[in-house]
Amino acid sequence: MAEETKALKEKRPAVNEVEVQKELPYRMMASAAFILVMIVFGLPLWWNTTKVHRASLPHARMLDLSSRQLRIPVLIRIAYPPAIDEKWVTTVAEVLYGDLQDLQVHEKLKLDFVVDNVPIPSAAIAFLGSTESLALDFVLTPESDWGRPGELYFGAQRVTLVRHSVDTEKVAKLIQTAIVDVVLDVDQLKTVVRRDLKQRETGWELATMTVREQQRRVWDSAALAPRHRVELLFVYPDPTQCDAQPSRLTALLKPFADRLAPVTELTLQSENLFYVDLPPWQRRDEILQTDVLDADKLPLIVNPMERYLTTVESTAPVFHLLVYYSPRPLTIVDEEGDAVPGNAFAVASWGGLAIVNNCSADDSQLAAVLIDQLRVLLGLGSDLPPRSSKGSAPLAGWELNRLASRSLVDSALRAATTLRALDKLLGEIQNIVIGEQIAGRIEAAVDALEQAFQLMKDEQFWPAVALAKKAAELADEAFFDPSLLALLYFPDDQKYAIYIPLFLPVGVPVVLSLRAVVTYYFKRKQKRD
Amino acid sequence: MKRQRSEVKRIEKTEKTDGNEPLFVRSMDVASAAVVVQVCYLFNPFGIASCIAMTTSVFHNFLIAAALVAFQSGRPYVSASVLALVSMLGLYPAVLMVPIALHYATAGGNSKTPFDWTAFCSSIAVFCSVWAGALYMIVTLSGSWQFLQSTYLFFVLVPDLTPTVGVFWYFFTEVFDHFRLFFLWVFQLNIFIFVIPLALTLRRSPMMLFHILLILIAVFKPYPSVGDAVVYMALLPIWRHLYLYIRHSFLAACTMAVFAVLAPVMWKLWIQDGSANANFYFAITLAYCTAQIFLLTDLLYAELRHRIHMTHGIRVVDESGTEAKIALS
Repeated sequence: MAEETKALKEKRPAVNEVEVQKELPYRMMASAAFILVMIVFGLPLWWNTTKVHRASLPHARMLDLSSRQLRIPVLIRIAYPPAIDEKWVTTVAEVLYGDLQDLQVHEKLKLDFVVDNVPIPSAAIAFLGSTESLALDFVLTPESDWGRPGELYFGAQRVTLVRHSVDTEKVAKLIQTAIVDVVLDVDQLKTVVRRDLKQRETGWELATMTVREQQRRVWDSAALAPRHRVELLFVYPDPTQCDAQPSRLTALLKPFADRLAPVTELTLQSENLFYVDLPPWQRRDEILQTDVLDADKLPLIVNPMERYLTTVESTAPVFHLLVYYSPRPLTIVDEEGDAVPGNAFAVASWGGLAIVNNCSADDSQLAAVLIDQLRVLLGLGSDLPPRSSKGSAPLAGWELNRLASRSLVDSALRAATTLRALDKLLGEIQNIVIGEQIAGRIEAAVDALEQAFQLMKDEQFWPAVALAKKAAELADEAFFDPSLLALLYFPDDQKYAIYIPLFLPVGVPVVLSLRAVVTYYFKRKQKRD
Repeated sequence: MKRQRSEVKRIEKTEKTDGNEPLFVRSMDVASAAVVVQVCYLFNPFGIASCIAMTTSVFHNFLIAAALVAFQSGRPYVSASVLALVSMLGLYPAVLMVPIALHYATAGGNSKTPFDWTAFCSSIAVFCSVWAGALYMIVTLSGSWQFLQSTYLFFVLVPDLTPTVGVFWYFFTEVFDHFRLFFLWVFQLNIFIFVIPLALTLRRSPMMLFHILLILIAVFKPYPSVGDAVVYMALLPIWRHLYLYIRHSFLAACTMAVFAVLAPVMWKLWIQDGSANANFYFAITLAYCTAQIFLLTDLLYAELRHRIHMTHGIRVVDESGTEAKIALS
């Protein structure tokens, strides 16, 4: 038995060797085919199907836009009737121009002033013709036609009337004060620029700020968005007693919204709340014999009303204007105990509350109160310089001009900052998916903003305002798009957890057989040589 | 009704014939194989279940059996055409063209004749042209290419994840969208990647290659059913001479029996009673797939081991058999 096995063992190598040699090439080919498919086909497949999709962006243009200076072209037109000497007007214009050149706003914003003299047949003309540029119109009115107190009158249209006097310096100074403080409000523009660039006030500036400036900063704390939503909430605590249906109110507010359309779009919505009451902070005042709401209790009213407000999926800022139909007469009093005119108050960036005591009163009264609240919330109010008066109108032309210049600065800076932030964000985080839609929006925003800058240079003010608004909207849409986050929080160890159960059991035999195939190939080559 | 089939297996004559009887195919095995195969097909519980459910797998099985008969009885182009029809209906039986073409190129697995490339290519060409002709007919009849969405693209893209006895649905319910395309490619490639290595290893046994590919298709199809398993289970009796070397028959058989009992139970508990969840059903389905894979590797192992013994006799002392070079997972 032992000899037989030994004999067999001696014979075995010869036969086995031949068999193995015949079969080996096919074995190697089979392994090689498998390995080939896995490496040559599998690896590119894996790379292509699992890479994060990132479309290309115009980086250089985005960065360039955020470093450019805004130049707003301002056209000042001084109109004079025949009673005033033309040479005198020219002197005034020169003095004015010289003074305005020394005006420093901000390094990011430059105002280019052009002063123009326009002869008109009579001082009663209130309209000087519209133009594509930002036109501030002043009409020099001679003493004989001036029938009102003070020296400046800000009209309900675009025109400001100036009382004529012999002193050119005085008139130039008047016009300059009117421009810098009221009609263009350079301080406000400077604040807006600093806010958009996130430059903080220094301690010195805070200490020397006047009350008026502080208030201004409170009311301008939010940027002027391209669109706002206005929610009118009619609160009826006792519908049996008062069931006014103010359906005309939206129609009454619409002309105001339409007039504002070139600067910001207002969307009006209204809602009725029945059997909802204000929190009971009113007290009975014996002197006025009525319920009063103290001014310092007003913040306590706003918070509890928040839970009745609906939310809409939109990035536009909202103004909640509440109208309270009080069952008993209710008056808002200020710190001195005097009734507040209009019986309404406004909260910055939130909205306001108006109290209606008489259910059956005319809607136009209420509409006036609401428009006033909106004016305050949008920053349309102004402090007049001494010895000047203002015509009453819901929205004067020069107020719209001022709002438009503010909107231009806001939109352009906001768009540029958003684009730069987007560029930085997408560059730093490699995991963010940049879809074709996002890239398209960014391109469109960059194009619109570049065009806006060009139009500003060409003194096309109103088209520039529209384009800057569009650029700001597109940049915001791209920045807040949810598709960017699709793969953001995908941790690396989860990726390994996905791949390892698939690749490891397949990969280990492949690697081992790869080794065998390679040694076989080299042995064969060696044998051939 | 299934047609009668006859098998012919070439026997390799070697010097050592005494004591090697179990290695050879007996003529009475060949004669009884036909009856045994028919009985196995007709009384297979999975086949009866498919009939009760009134599925179309009976047509698929019939066409596959017809292709098998045609290629074993020496009609190459008939089998290629029939297989083209089956492939047109379900995409995956196309891989069965490889053993058919190999059969004609090697004249039935004879290792002495050189590899006939013209026969190989002509049978594949007939297959492709019949498939193309059938597709053209469909396009003309339906007027557009829209049918692709509901047929081939449905197989390839796996949009519907209704639970089946396969492995696709459970994985694709939980895969992240970002990786879906990648894993879809991997899963589809899984069927086709094994064809070439298997063909190279079994180039001399096209019948065994056909059988193994049937099992492979039944396991890795995107939408398999138990009706797909009936054909290869019915074909098992023809390998009577390999029974000596099959190692896991008990395990596979028991797993299949347990699957046949538990799968409907788990399904009812999950879908109708709502007291179980998908994992119960998937576990038993996974066991079924594992049993099929055990069967596949057993057949392959037995075939290769049989070859060794045919040349070295039944009592080869050295432990050959499992060739570690076969990189099949």
